[in-house]
Amino acid sequence: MPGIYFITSEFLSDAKSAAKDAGMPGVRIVTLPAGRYYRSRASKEEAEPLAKGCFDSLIEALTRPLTLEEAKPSPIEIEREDGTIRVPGEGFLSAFEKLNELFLANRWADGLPIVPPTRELVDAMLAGTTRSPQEVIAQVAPKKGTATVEKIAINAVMAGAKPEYFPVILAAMEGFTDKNYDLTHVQASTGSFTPVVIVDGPIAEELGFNSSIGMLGHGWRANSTVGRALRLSLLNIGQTWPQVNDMALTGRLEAYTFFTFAEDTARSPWEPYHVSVGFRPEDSTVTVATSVSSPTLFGGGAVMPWTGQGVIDSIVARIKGAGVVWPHSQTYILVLHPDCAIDLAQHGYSRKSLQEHLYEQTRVPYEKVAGPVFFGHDNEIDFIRASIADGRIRVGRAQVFLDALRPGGRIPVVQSPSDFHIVVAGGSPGYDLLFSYPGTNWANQTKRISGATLTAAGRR
Amino acid sequence: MAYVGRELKAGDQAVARLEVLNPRGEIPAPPTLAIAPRSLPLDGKKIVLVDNGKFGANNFLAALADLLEAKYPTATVVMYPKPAAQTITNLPNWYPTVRQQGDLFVFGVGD
Repeated sequence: MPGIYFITSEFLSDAKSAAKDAGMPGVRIVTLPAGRYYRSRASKEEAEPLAKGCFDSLIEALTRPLTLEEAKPSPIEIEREDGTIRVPGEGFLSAFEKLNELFLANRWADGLPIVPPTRELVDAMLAGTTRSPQEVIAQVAPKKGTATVEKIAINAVMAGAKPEYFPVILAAMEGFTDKNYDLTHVQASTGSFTPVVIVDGPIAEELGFNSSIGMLGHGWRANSTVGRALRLSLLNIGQTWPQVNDMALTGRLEAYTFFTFAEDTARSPWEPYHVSVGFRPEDSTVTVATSVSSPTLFGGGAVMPWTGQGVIDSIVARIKGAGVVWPHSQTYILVLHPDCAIDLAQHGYSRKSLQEHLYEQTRVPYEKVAGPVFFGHDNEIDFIRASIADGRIRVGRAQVFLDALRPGGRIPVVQSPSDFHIVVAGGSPGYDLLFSYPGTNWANQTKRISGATLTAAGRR
Repeated sequence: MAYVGRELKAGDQAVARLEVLNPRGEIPAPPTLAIAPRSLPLDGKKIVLVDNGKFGANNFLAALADLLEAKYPTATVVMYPKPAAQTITNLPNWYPTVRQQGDLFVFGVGD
């Protein structure tokens, strides 16, 4: 079927990259000046001059006969990504500097110095797992780069990770590449999403993950380098680069290490998060999730008094005040600091009852659903109905929404209570963090850590 | 570490070398596909304007629809919205349905 794609000018390299990834490098693209388009799209009348300005280009792209190359395109050449790279220098420090310049010039690094991934160091990293170096974990979006265990090990070395961390990194990569995690959206979208990585189970303490004061900050090698190993693996194996095919407008708020921390299971009044989602207490797991931005802070920290119920009430008010329901897709990760979780538990909350409380209290009255006209729908009610019709509401949950779409109804902001993921971590005093992401069905994954050789946990 | 050599002394050539492994994932070469042949002119054709759901794309495409209908009065122009907030990888069964809507498509507006 003949056709053309309209894109804005800042996204031409991204569009060409995606076309090549799809095996159709000759796709005809008509560009609109980004500066004008984003300011003139609010109404049909405002968009008319822009439409007139590109009309001849549109007709030409739709009707011009194919060139020989378009009709019979040359095979797409793919670079080999194997072999050894040799970097000479006048001494070690010179070679190290040249290596870093080379890697950054090739778009193989994140801008901070990397540890040279020598054969020796990569073999040491591979010794941290029983898994074969040649085992293919997955194809990594957006370019479907092949993630072998060895390729992930190379990136883990570059990040400065210890070999004993490697099984955590592998499990997290399994999560990022699960078919029910939308990695393309996370890697490429203008939304500037930042992954959240949460380690649970006995391996967290054994590896020295920080789950207390400063858990999202620097100073803990496990938090920092596991996150960075994942950053580099996604960058290099998925082959992304800012302004080329990673179009995160602001860049990611935790650009180098993601939001990587462990749950404080010792101080939590509830069962560990991973147990609440079906794993055994003795399992070690890693959960990968997505945050649309930095987390919102609640509670008083060391500055103001707080109560657990007050924190929850503030969270409810915040969610209901956001102005958009988007029940087809919203997911929240609520990180309660231990004192807050303990206070809530002392007032009768279990994790499950707190999830149900949040689910009920954040429901929005039908009459107040007034999100923006979006995604081709005239109003948000139509948007919700369309979400039900095309299957984005999970099986068994659609009726809840259909029942609520009437005067007097109260529409949930998430599909089910379990879309409020509650973990316990932070200091004493501490703040409570709320991460959100509009993508329930592809929002997060929890994977069991296995195959460890250098730790007591994570072996099976 | 596979570091070979010693610190440079006056008059020495390069004496250190780092040998490292490539961190990039190899991409399987996709089958190369040609774009569809164009059939001139647009008169009498059914043109499908695919709204990708981004804010304002419907306004821009509506403005285009007016221009197309004015220039090609025998053509039919229809709007066909993409399901909301989903990337192409989540819609393997939806994209082929565009073909059933008409003769040519215009997809926009990508950012």
